[in-house]
Amino acid sequence: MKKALMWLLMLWKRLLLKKGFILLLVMIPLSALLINLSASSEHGFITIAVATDSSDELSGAVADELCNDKKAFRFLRCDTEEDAIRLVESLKADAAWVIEPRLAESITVAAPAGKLKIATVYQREENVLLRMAREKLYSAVYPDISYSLYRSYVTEELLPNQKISEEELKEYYSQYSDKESIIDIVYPDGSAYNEKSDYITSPLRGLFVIMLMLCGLASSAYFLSEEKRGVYSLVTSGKRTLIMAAGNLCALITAGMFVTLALVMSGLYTDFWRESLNMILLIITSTLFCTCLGRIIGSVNGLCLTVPIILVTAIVFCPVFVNLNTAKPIQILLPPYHYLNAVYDGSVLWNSVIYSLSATAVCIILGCIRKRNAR
Amino acid sequence: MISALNYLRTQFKRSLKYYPAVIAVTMALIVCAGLLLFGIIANNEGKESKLKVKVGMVGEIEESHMGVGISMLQEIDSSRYYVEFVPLDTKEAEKRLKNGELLGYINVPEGFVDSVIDGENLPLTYIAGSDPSALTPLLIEEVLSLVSDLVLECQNGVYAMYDAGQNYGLEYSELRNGMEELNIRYFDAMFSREEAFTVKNIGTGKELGFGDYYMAAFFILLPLLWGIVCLPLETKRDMSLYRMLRSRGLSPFAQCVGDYIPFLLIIAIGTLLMLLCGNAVTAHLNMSLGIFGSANMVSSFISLLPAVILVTAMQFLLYELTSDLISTLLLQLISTIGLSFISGIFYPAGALPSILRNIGAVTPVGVAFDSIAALFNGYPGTADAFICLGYAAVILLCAALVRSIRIRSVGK
Repeated sequence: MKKALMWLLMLWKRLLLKKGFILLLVMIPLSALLINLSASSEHGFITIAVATDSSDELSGAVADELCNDKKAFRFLRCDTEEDAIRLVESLKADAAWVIEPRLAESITVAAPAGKLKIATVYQREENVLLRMAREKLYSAVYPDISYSLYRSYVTEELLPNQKISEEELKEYYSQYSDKESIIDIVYPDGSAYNEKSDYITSPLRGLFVIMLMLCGLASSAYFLSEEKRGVYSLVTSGKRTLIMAAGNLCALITAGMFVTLALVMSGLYTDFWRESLNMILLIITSTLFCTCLGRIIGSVNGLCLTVPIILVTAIVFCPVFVNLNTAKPIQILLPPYHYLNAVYDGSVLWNSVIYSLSATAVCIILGCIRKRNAR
Repeated sequence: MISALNYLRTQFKRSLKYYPAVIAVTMALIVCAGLLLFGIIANNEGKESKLKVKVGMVGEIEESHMGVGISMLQEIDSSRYYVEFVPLDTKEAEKRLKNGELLGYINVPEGFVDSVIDGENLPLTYIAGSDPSALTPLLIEEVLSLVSDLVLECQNGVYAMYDAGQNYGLEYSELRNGMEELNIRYFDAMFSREEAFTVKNIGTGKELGFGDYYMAAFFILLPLLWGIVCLPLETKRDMSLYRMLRSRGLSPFAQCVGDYIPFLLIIAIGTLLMLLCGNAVTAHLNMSLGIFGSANMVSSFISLLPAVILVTAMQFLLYELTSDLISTLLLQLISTIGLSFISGIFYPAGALPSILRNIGAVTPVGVAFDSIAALFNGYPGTADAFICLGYAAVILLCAALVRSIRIRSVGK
């Protein structure tokens, strides 16, 4: 036991003396910090220039509401229609919305007659995102449209002969105004939806685990390089695979701590127990994956050439930027795939356990083959 | 004295010996990432349904109001362009969500419609899948928010109307008729909301479409990956050779040129192969994508070269900075991933925060990407080419400087 601990300590210490490894570890939380800081500034998947009539209070309020809602869309206020169109023509905005002048008046008169015009939209070409963005504008104006429909119906159809004051109408309407949303959003395991999710920070979890896997692959490469230099010449062939795995484990535990820190810094950290269990399984599966790969390839040069392929494969087939439902045999070989799928669905964790058992068997077989070849 | 030409010739021969390994790994990279990306882009190009997401509906949706409502949404509402509601049972919905076939599903509780009519509002539960992009879930969140607002405001108006009528002594039957009529007006307004906008399309101008954008990004990513593949060839593990060459009259700058040109040649040949493969595939699929399908391959290749030169110069400088194989690998990978992210390779540059966009635009990867994007747009500029070449020259000078410093430093 003491010997094993000594080995672990030495393997850990030698990793911490490698500048490249330290650089990679430091980059994980640093990139979380930088991306998080930049994500706090204005951004949006599409940019919309909004031009309003300065004398109209309602259109100003609508524009303010849109500009304060920082999620998928970014809104820029413009003073004039020409300024907004110029932004579209110069590719600085994807669309320009010129809100109708005297919008409040227009809603009051035209909405009940079904002839409402909210805005003139200038865009380069129609696409699904711009359609969805218009839903947002409609949603911002809808409370006034709704009130106008109600008011018009009550005064003109329901009680045409009664003189109802505006205050009375508003009093009836405001009684039911403070209702909560009728839709709750949750994840498959019942946990609350992360309302702070942002398309800029969302892929960070995937990128961090890929960097974690890179730490494991680097550790395998360091081991192979040391083995070639004869550092482990006093160790029997059979035990060298075990030492490689131990070295990878040390590297991945260290990387795992940095990734956890980065997740906390980027606001992606969810629940302590779920994250801890998921991370432990990721460390185990990545250790076994990197050890198997290192043993199969067998040389530093070969492993270094394979790493870019592994990384590209992981970025493409794991749900880092997109969730491709294809090439399942490749996906299930990659530890990040199981980890990322288990983040919000705990039932998938069993896949990591099965993976660990299978990869352990492969490592043992590779170790035995190596031992036999060495005799 | 060793001449620069002799050194260049020697480095060419050395690179050629290594080239079969580069080709093998390159083919693996192309098979892995390139064809898949090509297939995705080719399948989605030009289709408006590319963002149409599937959302499951679970629960009592066959009852008259809910079923009719969903049919109307799918047939006449503008949301039919971006979302498809699929009626399912709970087990099927969970299975499809796990497989990624659904973005999420809505659980409609028993008695939902009656609860809305009565004002009790049993909540709908949307079970969200873990889509990594977060963009489509964000958009669906916006849509769900709109649906909730429409229902609540409609409820607001109808109940307020009921209270007003009741206060003024109207009969129950009149109030019921009033509720139905007002509901119809609300539905009318909801389904005709697209008519509230006058849409004018002013033309795309100098903007790349989705497929062309990511094809241009691919043309930057591949040289970066190929450059990493040349790791065993380009890593300067031992400076003693270069010190010896320096002592024989070969300057660090001449050494760098002699090392860089074969490296560039490997990458350039790879780019040419990529163009030929892409052309063959697009010809087979009978389509045009970016510069693939272009009649003049030579002109396309020459237009791509300045960007390739810039990217390879950057990688060459990174190779000069480290001496250990693994550290070099890590430095190259971190630079590739980091610079690709901020230069708009993974996300369109316009979608990034302005600070990242501005930094990305001045990095070698960002400048090279802009140059290739202009080419894909049909507006290749000589200015872009000169900027790329000038930037590359500066980087190579820096590489020569680093080489010179390393040669002079003792014991390394």
